[in-house]
Amino acid sequence: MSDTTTERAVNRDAMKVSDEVAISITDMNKWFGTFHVLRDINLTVNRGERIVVCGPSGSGKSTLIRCINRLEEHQAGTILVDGTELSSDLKNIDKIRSEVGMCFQHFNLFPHLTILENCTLAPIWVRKTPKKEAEETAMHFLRKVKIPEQADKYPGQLSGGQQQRVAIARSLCMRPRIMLFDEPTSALDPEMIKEVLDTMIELAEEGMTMICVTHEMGFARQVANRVIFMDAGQIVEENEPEAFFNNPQSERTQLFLSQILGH
Amino acid sequence: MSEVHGQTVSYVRDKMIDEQVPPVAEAGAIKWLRTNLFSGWLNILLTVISLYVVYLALSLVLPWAFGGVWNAGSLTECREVLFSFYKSSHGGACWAVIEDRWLQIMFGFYPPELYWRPILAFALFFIALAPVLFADKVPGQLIWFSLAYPFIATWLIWGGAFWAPILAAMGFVVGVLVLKVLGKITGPIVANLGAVVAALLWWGAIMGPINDGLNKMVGGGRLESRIATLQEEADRLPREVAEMEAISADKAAGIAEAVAVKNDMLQAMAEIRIEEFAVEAQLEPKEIALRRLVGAEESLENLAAILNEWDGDPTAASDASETDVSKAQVASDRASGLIQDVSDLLAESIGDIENDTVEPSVVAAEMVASAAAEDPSILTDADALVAKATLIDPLTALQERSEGITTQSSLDDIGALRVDIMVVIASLDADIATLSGIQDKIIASNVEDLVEPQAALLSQMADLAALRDEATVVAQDTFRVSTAQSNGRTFLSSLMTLPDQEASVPELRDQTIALRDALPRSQRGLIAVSQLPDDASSDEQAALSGYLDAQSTELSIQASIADTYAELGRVGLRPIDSRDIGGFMLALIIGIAGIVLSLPLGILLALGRQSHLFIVNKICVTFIEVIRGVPLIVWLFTGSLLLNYFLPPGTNFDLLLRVIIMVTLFAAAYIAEVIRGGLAALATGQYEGADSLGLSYWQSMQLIVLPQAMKISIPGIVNTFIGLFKDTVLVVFIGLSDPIGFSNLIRADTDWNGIYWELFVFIGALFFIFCFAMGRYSLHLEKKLQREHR
Ligand SMILES: Nc1ncnc2c1ncn2[C@@H]1O[C@H](COP(=O)(O)OP(=O)(O)OP(=O)(O)O)[C@@H](O)[C@H]1O
Ligand SMILES: [Mg+2]
Repeated sequence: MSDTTTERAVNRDAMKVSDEVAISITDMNKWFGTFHVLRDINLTVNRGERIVVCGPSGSGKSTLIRCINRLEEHQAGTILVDGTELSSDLKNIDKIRSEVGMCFQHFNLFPHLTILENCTLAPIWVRKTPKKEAEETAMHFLRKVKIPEQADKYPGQLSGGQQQRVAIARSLCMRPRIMLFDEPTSALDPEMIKEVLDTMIELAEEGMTMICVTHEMGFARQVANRVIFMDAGQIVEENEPEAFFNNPQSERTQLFLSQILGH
Repeated sequence: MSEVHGQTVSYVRDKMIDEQVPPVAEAGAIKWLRTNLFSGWLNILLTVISLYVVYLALSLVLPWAFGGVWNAGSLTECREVLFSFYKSSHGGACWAVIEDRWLQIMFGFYPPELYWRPILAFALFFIALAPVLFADKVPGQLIWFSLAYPFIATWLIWGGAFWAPILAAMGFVVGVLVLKVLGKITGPIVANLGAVVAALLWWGAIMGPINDGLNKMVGGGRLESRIATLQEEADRLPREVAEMEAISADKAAGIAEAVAVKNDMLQAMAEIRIEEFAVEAQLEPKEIALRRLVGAEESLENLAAILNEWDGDPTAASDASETDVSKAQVASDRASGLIQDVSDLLAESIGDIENDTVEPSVVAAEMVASAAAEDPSILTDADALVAKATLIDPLTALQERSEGITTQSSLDDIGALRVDIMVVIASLDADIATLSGIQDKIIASNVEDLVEPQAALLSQMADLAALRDEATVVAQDTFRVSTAQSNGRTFLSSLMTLPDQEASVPELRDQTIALRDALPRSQRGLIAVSQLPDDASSDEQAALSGYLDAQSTELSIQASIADTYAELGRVGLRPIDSRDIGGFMLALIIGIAGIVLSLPLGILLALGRQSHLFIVNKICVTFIEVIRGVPLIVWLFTGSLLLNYFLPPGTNFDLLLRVIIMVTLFAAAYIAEVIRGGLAALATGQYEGADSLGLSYWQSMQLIVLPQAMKISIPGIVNTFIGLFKDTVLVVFIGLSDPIGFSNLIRADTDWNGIYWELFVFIGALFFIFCFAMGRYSLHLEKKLQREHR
């Protein structure tokens, strides 16, 4: 499943990393009941960085990125997003959520709204953008993900790849500074995976800060500037893609990579 | 290519056969019948049985419903008319009760001259509903009308000053304004609480004085002119009432005359039928006698069979076994029983024929008198009638002979008796046949004779009904004018004393204050003498009671001034008391109010039940379980009786309002559970999608979760609504006159005592129309939503 990625040259030069810190996680711990899912997570992401998170199933990847926009609550440690600390203060949470876009494995589009309404909903209600302006923005992003002609359809009438691109456009309409992706391609056919990855690469080229849980190693190689390997709730290894793939340090990583790339 | 094929393939079809019509049995209606009704033997059987059952039901119901009487003043009149048509008073429905009372069943005791108000409210209801039901087809601004509608409808139905609904609606405006302002300054919880407090403050403390002020302002200006009109009316109205009473007397005389004409008509129709009755009187005893004779003949046959098998008296033989003896015993017993039967039946049939009231010759005379004039063949028949005596003599002889029979009689004797009885049967049979023939002929000729009088009777009944309607209108007018007259008189006197009353207020207030100040400080807040300590002296008691009396006098004078001004200053509709609202209108008011209010409450309860806030969650769960777990009727009794007990004394809380509250709470609990099902059916991804976009809780509920959950719950919600609407008839048990209550009231009238079916059918049809419409709309909505977002 590794190399479905584009043949087109990725313009890595365009992806500039600044010194500004976008996300900083220190000593974060999380339990589900008595189950210790995340242990002592420390992670700093600078603005413009593209992080790929990988690891075996159940290792806590989803939980980690869901903590970043507080879809899950952490119990110890701190998470700072754009300098704002995530606490139980509702105002902060809503502010951070409107700054951080998220794409889910199963898209989570709203089936009772058209594609256009899906995209304009949050700008109109959260950002209080006038309807007209919101629609223009939405059309702009729908063009960008190459499905402007579907604007008046309902999500149920679209293919999986199209739906995932709508989901990306929907997030982008909020003009987020950070995008989180939780296995955006793992529910898709290879053909559609390509559509979605292309869109994500374009985003990366525009300098978006991205954290991406994915097993698309080709994508990781081309786009990521850091790959993180998680196992049993811990960050086991963290390195540049070349080094990570060619010269993995820990035994666990080697095993994982051999399994995922081996055949 | 084609040549190659032409050579290598022996035959290739080069011409297509034209499309053909399928065989008759495979197309159109026949195909449909075959596949749907007659596809297998079980299906055929079911089809036939169900058709038969449907036929049976319809053949009973349709003639009853369509052969009914529409014009009659009472159940007795109805039965008279039915009898003149069908010779039975149960041949048709007495719809006259509906014709007579349908307005009451619909509107209760609402004043008839004001019917336009509820009707207008009902018509506006559909306009208000349009933005909700058909959001895509009507302009969006109409939603403002929908929001204003509850106030408009309340005002139309209950009446009062036009500013009352505006003032009430202002409460919500105040609430929203406070919410907006506080929402900017503080958090949402404080803002919401503040809004509720502000609205309650408005309704409780601010609205009343503003209303009084407006009344006083408008009323003060009208005082003089109103007194003048009232005095003028006081002179005029008694004359009007007298005139109307004279008209009423006229109408009553007209009605009495019409009733007399109707009675004559019924009499005439009975006379036309007199020969029918005569023949019937002749026929009936003969038919009974015939059946008895046939019975006797059968008994003799059985007796012969038993005797034949038994063959004598085996007990006489010495070698008879015990079983033979007991068998012989049984046979002998049965034979004796049969002999006794024969004898009895013969005796009874003699009695029947002797009791026969009319001699055949008398019947014949009747024929000659009238019917034969039209159909001479009846005369020939009448000649053939057998005289009573010709039957009785042979029967008596037979009866005597039958007494001679015993178990020892020879089979020949029995056979001979049987044959003789059969001869009598044959002659009786011929007699009956002749009579039936006469009867048929008479009925046939009467049917023609009756057509005209029946039509005349119907038109006479219609005239009578029209006369009665006019009389009712006059009576209502008289009642209205005389009520207006007496109200006017009372009001005039309170207007006359108004200046004095107003002048006395300051003095009364001073007096109250003086008495209050004279009390010891600790007693000033008491509201009853019984609250004084036990050891209080009689002086203290007298002082307190004096103060309390003065205070209540002052308050009652003030209340009476306020009432007078309210009446004087009212710019709007005549107020109607809740007690006068009844019938189907009551069911609609309770049903619609319940439906409109229970939906939002149900949604809130469902969300509360899902909430992670512990207290909110537990309150909602308890509320839902308690309300659901107790029958509605218990809640209605609680509302009507107990609630008064808990409320502070003096608060007069409208019974109808209490019922609406109870019904709303009850339905809300069910709606909450239905919607909870819808919420549970929603994927968690929807919540997460909404959260990840930064939508607040209420936004994600309003925009994402509820629209989808509601869509899933539509069938359940509509089901609950239909149930709620039908359950409104339960209010009859707490003394409100809903349609069922009215059917009881109508029966209490001597005119309609004993009428059930017609009323219930009518009420049932009313409910059915509304419930069916709701069900259809819900289907339509489901289909539409299904199409839109799959
Ligand atoms: N809501 C929850 N309650 C209890 N346990 C949970 C919950 N969500 C996840 N878990 C557990 O936490 C662990 C980490 O889950 P997570 O979804 O983060 O894994 P993942 O790395 O994303 O796996 P995958 O690659 O399969 O998506 C799993 O063992 C899972 O069973
Ligand atoms: Mg996962």
